[in-house]
Amino acid sequence: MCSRARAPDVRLQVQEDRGVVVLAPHGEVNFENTALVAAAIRDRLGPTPRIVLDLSRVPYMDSTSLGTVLDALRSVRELDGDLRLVGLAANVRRVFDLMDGERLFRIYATLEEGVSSFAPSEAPVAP
Amino acid sequence: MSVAAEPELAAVACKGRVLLVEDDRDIRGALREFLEGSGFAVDEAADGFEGIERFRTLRHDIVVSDIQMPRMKGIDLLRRIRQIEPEASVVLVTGHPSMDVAIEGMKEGACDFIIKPFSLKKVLFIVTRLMEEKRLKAENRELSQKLKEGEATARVHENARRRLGEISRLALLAQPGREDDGLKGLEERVLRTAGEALEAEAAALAVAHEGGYSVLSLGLESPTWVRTQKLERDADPMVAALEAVSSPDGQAGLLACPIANGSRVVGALALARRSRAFSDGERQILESLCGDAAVALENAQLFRDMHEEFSRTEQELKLASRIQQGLLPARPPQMPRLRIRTLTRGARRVSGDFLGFTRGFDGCLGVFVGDVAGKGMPAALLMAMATHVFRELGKRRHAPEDVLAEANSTLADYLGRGVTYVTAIHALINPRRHEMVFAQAGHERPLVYRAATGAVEMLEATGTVLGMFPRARFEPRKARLDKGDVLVLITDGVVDATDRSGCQFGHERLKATIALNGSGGAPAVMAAIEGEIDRFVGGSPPRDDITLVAVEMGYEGWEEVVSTGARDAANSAKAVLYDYVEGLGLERAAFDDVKFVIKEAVQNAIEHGHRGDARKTFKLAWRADEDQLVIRVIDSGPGFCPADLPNPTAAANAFKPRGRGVFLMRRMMDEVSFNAAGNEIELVKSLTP
Repeated sequence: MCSRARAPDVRLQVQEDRGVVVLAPHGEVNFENTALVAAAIRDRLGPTPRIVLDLSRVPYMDSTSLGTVLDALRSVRELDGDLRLVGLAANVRRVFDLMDGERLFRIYATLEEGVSSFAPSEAPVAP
Repeated sequence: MSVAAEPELAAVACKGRVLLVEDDRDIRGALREFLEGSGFAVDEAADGFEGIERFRTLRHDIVVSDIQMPRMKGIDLLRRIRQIEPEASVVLVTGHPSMDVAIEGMKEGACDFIIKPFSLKKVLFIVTRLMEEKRLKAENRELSQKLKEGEATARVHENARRRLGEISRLALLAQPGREDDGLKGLEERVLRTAGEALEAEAAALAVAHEGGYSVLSLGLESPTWVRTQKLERDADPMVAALEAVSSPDGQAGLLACPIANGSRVVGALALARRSRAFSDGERQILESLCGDAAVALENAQLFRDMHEEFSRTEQELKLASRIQQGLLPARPPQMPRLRIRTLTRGARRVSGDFLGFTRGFDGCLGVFVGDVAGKGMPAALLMAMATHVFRELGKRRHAPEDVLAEANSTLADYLGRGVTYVTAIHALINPRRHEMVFAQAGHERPLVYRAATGAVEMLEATGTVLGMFPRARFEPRKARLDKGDVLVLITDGVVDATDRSGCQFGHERLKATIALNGSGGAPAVMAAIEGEIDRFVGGSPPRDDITLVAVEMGYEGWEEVVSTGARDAANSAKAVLYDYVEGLGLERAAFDDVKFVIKEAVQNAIEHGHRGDARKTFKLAWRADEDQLVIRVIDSGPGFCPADLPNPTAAANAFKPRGRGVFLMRRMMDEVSFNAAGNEIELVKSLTP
């Protein structure tokens, strides 16, 4: 017997790579589950957070989850960190484009580009 | 026994006379052959009226009648036969093993039920048992008579009285189902009957069960006692029963007798008496009692098995019916330029009709409607198979004649020639070009309401049934379908629907109904046909499955679906609309935009309009013509003022939570507007390149 996965389920994978937190949700991010993503980001807000949101396994995002990402960006910026986006599917890219997302986010094609964009020189230097 | 009026019946020295009332000639024939082979004289009637006539003159010992028959139902027949002869033994045969029918039948005095499909052996068993009961009752009456007349000697008198008591009790025992204490209770009653009739102090009964024997022993004098024990398979039931009644103090009388059905020993009964030995006469009494007990025990066992089978069949039917519902389209497909309605109704829990839709290239719609010969479970199984074959073929092949040819050879492979067959029609409708290609296989011909003239046309087509001739070929036919025309596909259950007097609904009535209502399009036609059939049959039970599909051409008006905000319901409502939008042939990106917008709008309705209350309902409505697609989402909330929404791309608004959804909708659609109350959003997408 196969049991149908409930539609709003989104899984969130968290990794650290060269001092950068990589958050990778799997599945459709929408109104019903976007709080999960928001909480995961909030949990990782240390001083000067450096976060990459890997959206390569997100086929669809609605306007509410877009709001979640924008809220996260604001929190991260307030702490002098940054949140960057990688692996946007065409559908998701379209939504960011229409919202003028390039103006707010740094968006990269691959995870590697996203992580290495936080070059060591960008890291806060000890006085 | 009264002398039969007909020589053919009187001439047979038979076990009894049975009247079969059954409208299905094949079933009747098979039963007759079998019962005659088993020594019964069999008489037939094709319906209830004939049955009553035969019974009035011949007074058969047993009447076996189908419940579901045209003209007169089995229950009515039962009632009328019991009026003629209150002691008549009537067995009802039913294809619907529902408790309601069984209870109604019992109330009216039915002796037993046979559930279709039945084994002939079971029928023989029931008929034999009823004859045995009849014999016991007759003997009972005869002995009572003798006692009254005082003809008997003292010896005969005593024996007769004993026998009488025994018979009257056993006659009761032989009625399974009247007692509610089951097999165990019956065993105890057999013991008490035997023990009391022969004045024994202890009685024991060994009865075969799965894996061995169980022995029940009773002490009949005070203090009374009951003991049960289990024995291995190879134990001797006679020895076991004797051991159970013998006492270490010794008894003057010990008597045991095997209980056998034919040559098969199913148990043994033993009696013990301290005071005196058992006489030969008493041994004979025990023997005949054991013969009756064998029948009673087997009856009870069979009744229990049947009851289990009954509930199992009931469960299986429920499940099968659910599975079948899943094979039929949950709702007619939504396609631009077409308005489609369907009606399916099974005469029984499971149906042999099938229908389905496939989507062809270029916005074409494939429709198939079919009918499996026969009814009930076998037809239902074939229906499932045929649905699958047509669905799969409809995806791969587009020419209707090819779909039928392949379905034919596939079904012929599975069925084996001559077992049964399937009739079907497959049509491919091109809504843009206003034409249809179809092919048919022994099926009801398609009907078309012509909007221009108001006439109804029956399209010409021929083709042999499916599953009989593996190499049969099918002819494609073309027909023009203009705007407003309504194509109607049916199964024969529609025209064969029968009223109380036996008249059929027929093609002329169907055509007239379509002609009168065609200008109202597919929904009006469908509602009118359904209403007319219901009025026509006037409550008589449906004899055949009914399936109808109406496809209206060139429809550009509104369609709608209403749903609660519960996730699954809302998702399937959205899916209906996606289905429709997909048929518009938009570019991928544009299609994705429309889908996004529908999701956003529905989410707004639920989250903002209804404040998350999943019980409130919203409505999706849509229409499309050559120029544009219009979608409306109407919620049942208090509404809001869209003018208050900020523009989220303005730098100052970038992090404001409101307005993003509507902003995105405006960017993705050509027009977005709200009604004055603010609970209805209208979304327009241009379809002109």
